[in-house]
Amino acid sequence: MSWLLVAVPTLPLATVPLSLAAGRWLPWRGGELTVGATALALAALAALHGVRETVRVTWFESAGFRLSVGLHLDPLTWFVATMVAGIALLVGIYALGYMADERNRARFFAQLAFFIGAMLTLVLSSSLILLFAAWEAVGIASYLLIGFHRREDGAHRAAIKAFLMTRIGDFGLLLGWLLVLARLRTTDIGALLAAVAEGRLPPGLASAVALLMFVGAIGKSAQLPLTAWLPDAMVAPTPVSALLHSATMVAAGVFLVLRLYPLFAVAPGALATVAWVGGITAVFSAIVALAEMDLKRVLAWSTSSHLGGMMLALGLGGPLAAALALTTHAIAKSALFTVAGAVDKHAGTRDLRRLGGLVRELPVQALVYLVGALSLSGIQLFSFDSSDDALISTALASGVLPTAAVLILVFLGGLYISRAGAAVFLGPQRPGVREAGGGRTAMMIAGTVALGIVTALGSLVVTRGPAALPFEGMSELRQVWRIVAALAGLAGLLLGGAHAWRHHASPLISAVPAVLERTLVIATAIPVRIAGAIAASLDSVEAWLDGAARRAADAVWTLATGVENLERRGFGAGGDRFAGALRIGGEWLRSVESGRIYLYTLGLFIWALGVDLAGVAMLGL
Amino acid sequence: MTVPLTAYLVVGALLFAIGVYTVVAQRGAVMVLMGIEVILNAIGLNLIAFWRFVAPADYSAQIFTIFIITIGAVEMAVGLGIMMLLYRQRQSVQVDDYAELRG
Repeated sequence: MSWLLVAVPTLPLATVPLSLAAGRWLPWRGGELTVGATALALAALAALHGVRETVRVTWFESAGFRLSVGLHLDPLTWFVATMVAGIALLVGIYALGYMADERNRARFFAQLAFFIGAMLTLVLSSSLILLFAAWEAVGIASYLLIGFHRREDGAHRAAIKAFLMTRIGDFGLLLGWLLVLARLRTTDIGALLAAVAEGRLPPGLASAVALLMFVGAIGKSAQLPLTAWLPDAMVAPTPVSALLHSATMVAAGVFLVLRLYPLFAVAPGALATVAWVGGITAVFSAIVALAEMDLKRVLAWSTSSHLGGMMLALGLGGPLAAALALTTHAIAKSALFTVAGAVDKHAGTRDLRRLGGLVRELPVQALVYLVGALSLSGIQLFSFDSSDDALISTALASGVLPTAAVLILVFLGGLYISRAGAAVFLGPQRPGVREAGGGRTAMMIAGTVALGIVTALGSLVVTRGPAALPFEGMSELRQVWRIVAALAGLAGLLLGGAHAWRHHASPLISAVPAVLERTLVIATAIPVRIAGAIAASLDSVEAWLDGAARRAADAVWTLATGVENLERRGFGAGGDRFAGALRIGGEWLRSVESGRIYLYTLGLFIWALGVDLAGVAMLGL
Repeated sequence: MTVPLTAYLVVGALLFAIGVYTVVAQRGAVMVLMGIEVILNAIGLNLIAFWRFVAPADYSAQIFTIFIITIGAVEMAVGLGIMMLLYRQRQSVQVDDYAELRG
């Protein structure tokens, strides 16, 4: 079965060069490769259901360090990997329709396949070093996909911003696994968790590692203070938002904490940090979402808020609640994003102030939006159980403040999502909307509907979840709390809808959220400026090094030309002169050979005379 | 009255000088050969004179002189043969006409 496990992340990765090389000649420009490979990966995962397996190879071993890379399948990684592959498949189908009239589709699908493969590697990885590599790979994929419309306003800057801000978090993750490597001489996650279970890790070290890992999670999951990149990332094509920036990549941070939960469990300080950061982010982002005017940005702030809720659940000691919320949210949010993409295509804008009354033209999408909004507000269609119940039972176990926070979150979630939905789908149609009329291709509707159905059925998955996941079951929730939670969500939905019905897209609670958002953007801009300044100063150092290298090269060049000149003027000229002298001497000797016999004879006699005289002189001496 | 050695040597030197002059200055090939003959005879005269006055008991000098005369005759035969061939080729025995070895 191990080859099947290896095939899961390898299949999508293998289509990357194929799409790049041959995509332009295929009818869907490589999209069919991406979707097909993802479907195969999903089938492989289905075949691997219930299997526990680890495929591991030693990368290298040196001086007591042992670096192994491999894939690890257990209920948790299977659960998340299946979710990733499933959403990737549906969003991929949606993307076939959404990108139908784009140029450079082959590049898009290659990047999408690269992301899917990297994300599956991240989820299934058995060692921190491979996880980190995949973590960086999804970051690169995110950068490439955000900047896909690179000529569009802001895409370039948003891509760089997303990449750099997540890099800040990645730094923490890097330090974290290096610390583990230094201490345990391995980066294997199983070995790390075993060491934690046996208490071989000192508490201080465990806390340090957990906090460093959490820094990585903050960056990837857009928690405060590294939130601002996520709304900006919405310039990406909508399938990218639906897959990367709502369901999978941003969930990687939550997944990391889940995967290493035993480590966090022995570090109470780290857990408290997780809870506080998550809680504050959740409330903050929900408030900002109330005033946002761009449909996709509303959903982005909502994503950040829900991820904060998951972090809160993790921090309060409810990994099961977090895992369930992760799944529910991922499916519902990608469904909402596919609807947003259809709205964008159809009306040519995502501005809530200019949208309205679209329910008559996009009824299917409106229905899916309703299902998604209900699911996000904790009201499941086919079940009484919901992930919010797990969240509330976790919060109840921890005290009043978390409970209140969770209820407020549910209420706010309903408020902003229904405000946006009502502004888009209800009311009169606004003038000035470009009638683009797109967004109704078969593929897009198929993807959206499939996601909507999965969202509606998600509760069934959720109720089956606890049996499979390796976390303690939640305590049974009293009926009254379920009703309270459902009422909070419903109240939010109704209030938001009513507000939008009367005042259309005007911000819900005045200008406070807008101020909050601007403050955050400025606050995050400062460290970015500092980093930029550091980079600029490094640039001058680099320039100096470059100059030095150039000078060295110039010196060598001068030396070489000097040697060449010496050779040419010295040896070369000397040789020339010698040859010239020989030539002149030869000419002179030639004149001796006059061809006149008497001269030869005369020379002979003179020579003989000379010899005689010399002989006489020698005899005399 | 005996003729002294010096007289022989003077006559030999005169003959040699006349021969050298003839070889160097004459343009006709036959004349050059004759100059060589005169030089050879000057040498022969010197040899005989030194034999007669220095070592009259030793006859090897006479043998040397006979050698020189023989070699002179042979040389003349070969030289004149070459001259005949050259004359047939070019209709000329002027040495200046044969300057092919000029560099």
